[in-house]
Amino acid sequence: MSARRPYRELTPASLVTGALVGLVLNMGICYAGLQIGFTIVGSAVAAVLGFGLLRGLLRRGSILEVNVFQTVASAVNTVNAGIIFTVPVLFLLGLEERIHYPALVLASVAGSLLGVVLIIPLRKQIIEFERLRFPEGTAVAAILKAPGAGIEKARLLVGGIVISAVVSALTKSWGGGEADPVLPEALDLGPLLHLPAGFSAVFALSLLSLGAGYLAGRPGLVVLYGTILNYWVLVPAALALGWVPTAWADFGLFSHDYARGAEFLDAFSHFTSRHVGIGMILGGAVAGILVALPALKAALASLRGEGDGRREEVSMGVLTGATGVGLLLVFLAARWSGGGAVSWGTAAVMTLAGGIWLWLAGLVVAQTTGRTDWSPLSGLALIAIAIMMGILGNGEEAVVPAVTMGAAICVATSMCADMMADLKTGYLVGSLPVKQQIAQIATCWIGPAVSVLTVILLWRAYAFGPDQAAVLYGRRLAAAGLEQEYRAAVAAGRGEAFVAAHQADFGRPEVRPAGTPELGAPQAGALMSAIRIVQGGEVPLGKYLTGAVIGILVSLLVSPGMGVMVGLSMYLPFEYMVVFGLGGILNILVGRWRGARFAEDQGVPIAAGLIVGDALVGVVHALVKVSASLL
Amino acid sequence: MPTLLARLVLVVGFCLATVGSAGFAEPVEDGAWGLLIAGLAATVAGGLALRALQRRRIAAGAAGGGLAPAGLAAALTEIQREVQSLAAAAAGLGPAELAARIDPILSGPCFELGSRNEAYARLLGAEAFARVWSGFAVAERLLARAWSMATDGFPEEARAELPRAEEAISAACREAAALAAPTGS
Repeated sequence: MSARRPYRELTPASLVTGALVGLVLNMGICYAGLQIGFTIVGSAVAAVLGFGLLRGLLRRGSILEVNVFQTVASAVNTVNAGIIFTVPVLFLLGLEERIHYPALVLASVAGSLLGVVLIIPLRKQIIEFERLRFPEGTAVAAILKAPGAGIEKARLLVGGIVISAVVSALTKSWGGGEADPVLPEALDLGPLLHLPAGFSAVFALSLLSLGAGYLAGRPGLVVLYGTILNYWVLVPAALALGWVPTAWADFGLFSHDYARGAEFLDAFSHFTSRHVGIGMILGGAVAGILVALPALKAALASLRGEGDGRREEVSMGVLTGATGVGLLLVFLAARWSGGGAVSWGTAAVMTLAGGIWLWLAGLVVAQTTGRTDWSPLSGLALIAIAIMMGILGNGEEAVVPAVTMGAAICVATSMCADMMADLKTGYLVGSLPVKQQIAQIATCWIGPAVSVLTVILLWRAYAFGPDQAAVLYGRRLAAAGLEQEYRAAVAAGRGEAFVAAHQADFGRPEVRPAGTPELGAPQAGALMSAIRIVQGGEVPLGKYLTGAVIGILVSLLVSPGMGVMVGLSMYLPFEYMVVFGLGGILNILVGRWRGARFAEDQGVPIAAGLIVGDALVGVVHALVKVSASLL
Repeated sequence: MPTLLARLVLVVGFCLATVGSAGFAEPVEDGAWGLLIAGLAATVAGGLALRALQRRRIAAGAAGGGLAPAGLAAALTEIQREVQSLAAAAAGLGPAELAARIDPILSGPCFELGSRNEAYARLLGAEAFARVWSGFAVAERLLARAWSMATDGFPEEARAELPRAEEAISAACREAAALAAPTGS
């Protein structure tokens, strides 16, 4: 209660403990991400841990110090998404020997720095003028404000956390994949209502999606429109018109084969709606920038300092210098990653193209995260790699430098989203943006380095990917000097005989050794397929471009966020987006029923709790899976 | 009724264009170009009609004193009055009372005005909107800062933020008043 000691905000304790917690979360979630195929941002978890560490254990943290702690922890943790989506593909493609590790780390660190410094000038535009909701950022602010928000709001927050945590835990299997969860992850109403199999009616039991949709409010409705357009208009229309690949030509509009229907919807997403959706998102983002150009001038003016001498934002000089350093590192990484295949001139072109794409992709991700909490990170990374391969050519020698640059861009875009979400939290609790920005710039190099190291260690220890067991079998044979013999046997059609003869010593190629965790790396597996498509010259440019035209038009004519929102809802799975949309409807209904103030005061703490509860269980679940695999 | 019709044209156009877009495989499917062009044309027609109707509605609202520069100036002036009153009384308030006084400003007039940002951006245009809104947003953040500091038991630091918030909201009021004033031409 004493006002004699200074108020704590950006402190060594917040930086060091935040970095340590972020580091642990990064490694754990990196590992879990290779197992389960998705990552957890962790801002909400970091905020809860920040309270526990700074206010509980150290007994001195303030609201704004915990905000800085959480900013650092999530910055160190978040980048793992950018790494585990891209870097593992180099191992899966058998290019381990060609990887230039220092260049890979350099590129990732540079991407992280560029992601932070390139998005900072847009803070005012995105957070203050557009007032994007950033559901997780809003949820984190609700946690930080809980001690002073009154007992009623705290009760609602905790109630939301408990309900969401219980439901989330009941939908998860904790026994390493064998045990059935108590509750299903999703409810499929299709068979119950006897709907055609190509007509999706699956609803995820995700209170996180519902809470995020509630916090997003009216934009949730746009997501619902986009989801309906995609799954209830586009899919049936494409089926009726026969606009599907030949492998699906026999799947009729009125088929009731639900297992095949689920496969078809997943495939349709990959060969059509994701491409159109990404195009719409990009078009919408470009249109949004065009509309906001005059306001951006005011946003940039804020970087020149404040009237009373207190700096509120990092200066333009620092941002320009850091951008120059980041681009120089990317340039060097591009040159080194390709060995002799990348000349200095090509490296310069890659840096220029990568820098422009990085900024655009970062803006897209900040916009989509701000409106929904989701982002099309994988699609944007794929385009980045396609751009790089367009510069380098489609040969095998282009893959390592292209993926290295893709990693830098993917890390940068995830960092853009994280920086903005944290600045949103800061806005709501009153942090000085400059302090959060300094904290993030100072620690942004840690996460990529840790993630790259974790991926390398996991590959060397357990391997990963769809052929994990076969890779490990090959390693066992190689250690015994039998690998060549095995390959020759396989080539001669005597592979099974070879395996049977050596089974007692080396096991089988399709069975992982006991105690080895299963690391399927599904995201990297998907990227590997996509790289093969790019190498085959089958990039669906027509869908991207036509989607972009539609995105630009609706964004200019209806609302700047429209193209981004509809595009995102076409990109993501029906079951989550529809629940998100229902959250938006719930917000509107509560507002009409009890007034906007009630919807805000009572609804936001509950919705924030729903997000936090699910995120907490997600992290605990990931850690349980990790420990179960290792023991 | 015209709004509903314009929306319908927009939605149908949007759906047609999206379906057309799905036909842009290699080679382009038969009919994809037709659907795309027809869809884009309908999207443009519906979108332009909606914008025209929206402009008419905004003009009617401005004439009725609803969503207009004068309304924005009034809302900002109300916040300015509240902040000035709080700053004047702050010296005699303890941390809990200070936080309790800030909270209704944030959840009341600031929230009400903040939730109308898109409407005002459309009404004023991006540049003028940014000039006015910048001061409001800074004031809102500084009030939140003062609230956090007061909640943490640091009333002196919290009080020091109030003049800054007052200055920012006053700047926004000046910009809004300039916009609301008749140009005389």
